[in-house]
Amino acid sequence: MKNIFTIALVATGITSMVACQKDALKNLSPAESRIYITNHDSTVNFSEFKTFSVADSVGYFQDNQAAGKDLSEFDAAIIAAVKAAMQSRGFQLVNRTDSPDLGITVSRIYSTQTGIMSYPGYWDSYGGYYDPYYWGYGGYDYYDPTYYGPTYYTTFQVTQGALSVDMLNLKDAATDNSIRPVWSGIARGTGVFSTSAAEGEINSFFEQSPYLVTNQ
Amino acid sequence: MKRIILLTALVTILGVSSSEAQDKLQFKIGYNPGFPVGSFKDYMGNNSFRGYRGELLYPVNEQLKVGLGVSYNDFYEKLPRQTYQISDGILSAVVSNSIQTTPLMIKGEYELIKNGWIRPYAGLGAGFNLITYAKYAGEFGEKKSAFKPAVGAEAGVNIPFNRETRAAGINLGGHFNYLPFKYSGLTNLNNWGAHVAVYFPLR
Repeated sequence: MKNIFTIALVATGITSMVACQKDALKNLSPAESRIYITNHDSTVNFSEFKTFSVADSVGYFQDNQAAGKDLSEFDAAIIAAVKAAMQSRGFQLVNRTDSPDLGITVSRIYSTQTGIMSYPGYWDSYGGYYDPYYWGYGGYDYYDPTYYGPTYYTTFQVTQGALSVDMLNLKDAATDNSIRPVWSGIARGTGVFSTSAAEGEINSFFEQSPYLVTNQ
Repeated sequence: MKRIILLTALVTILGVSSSEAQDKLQFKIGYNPGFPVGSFKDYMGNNSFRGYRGELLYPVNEQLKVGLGVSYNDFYEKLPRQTYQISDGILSAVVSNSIQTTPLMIKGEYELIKNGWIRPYAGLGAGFNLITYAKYAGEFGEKKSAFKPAVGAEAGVNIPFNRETRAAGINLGGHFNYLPFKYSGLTNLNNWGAHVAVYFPLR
């Protein structure tokens, strides 16, 4: 009887040890769970750009394929936040038909895969949704953003959606014969498409991108 | 925590009621907080107050016991949001570090005196350490498990409930664990700690 009691005690002890581990993921609020990654073409001087325009709807991509466009409450909040952030850095908002120096697109990227995914993969379908004609540069191609090396996109396991904001150099499109992305921001994590989180997400992008500034 | 207190109380009762002789296999279980030192402290700013230990010790003679010991510590730290330079960009994240150490060691324990209510002892151990490592940026991260060598030293006092049988009692002490682990900037998981335990004969 005593042996059984002792074995029970030992088993209880081992169970207690295993159970007493702080779960790192359960100890995160939705805001804490989110990550923000920004990257840019370090050869670009953003003060040379003066005007910008933001696409009037949000494209969404499913497993690297363009799946449509939308303008949900969240999408509208993100677009408004991007406009406000750019204006606070000195850029002037203009209509897309007024030859903006910078074009900005917002995308929602979804993946049903688990495993490692290359985020620039959605770029293969980018032109299919954001036709260069939209920016007044019909017939041009988009330059793959990997030219400035955002290889980090491949380092995270994808189990949910991501918000992507891309900034395009329209000012030099004619010279370059292509539209070069010059800045990108990616947000991922719980509640990334929550309307209440939209402004904070864009602010995070801009706070970690102090070079995004110009003078009129 | 309630389970631990209940467990400790039950073990104490069992120990007090025992009148077994001192040459029986001894079981020890107790609370075992851990405090990182050196480079591990640079990595992990928080101490571990989730730590437990258990030992099975066989008395070779009146003063020397040898046996097997296992201990466990859960180290966890959540850093405030900040930015990090990664590959070609900037990452902003709340980073969480989570490390669990479970050294399993062959141990020897030597009591410095033969008589008295308070019996100082010193002990050494060597074996292996089961490590679980996790690092998260927000909710995204990596996990890894490893099995590495471990060496430990400890000193303290045993306070037997019965001075004659010395079969059961309370153990108080401090310990140091040398736990090498080279991974992602870490070179070791060295830590020291204090422990309080109860011991009693198994047969």
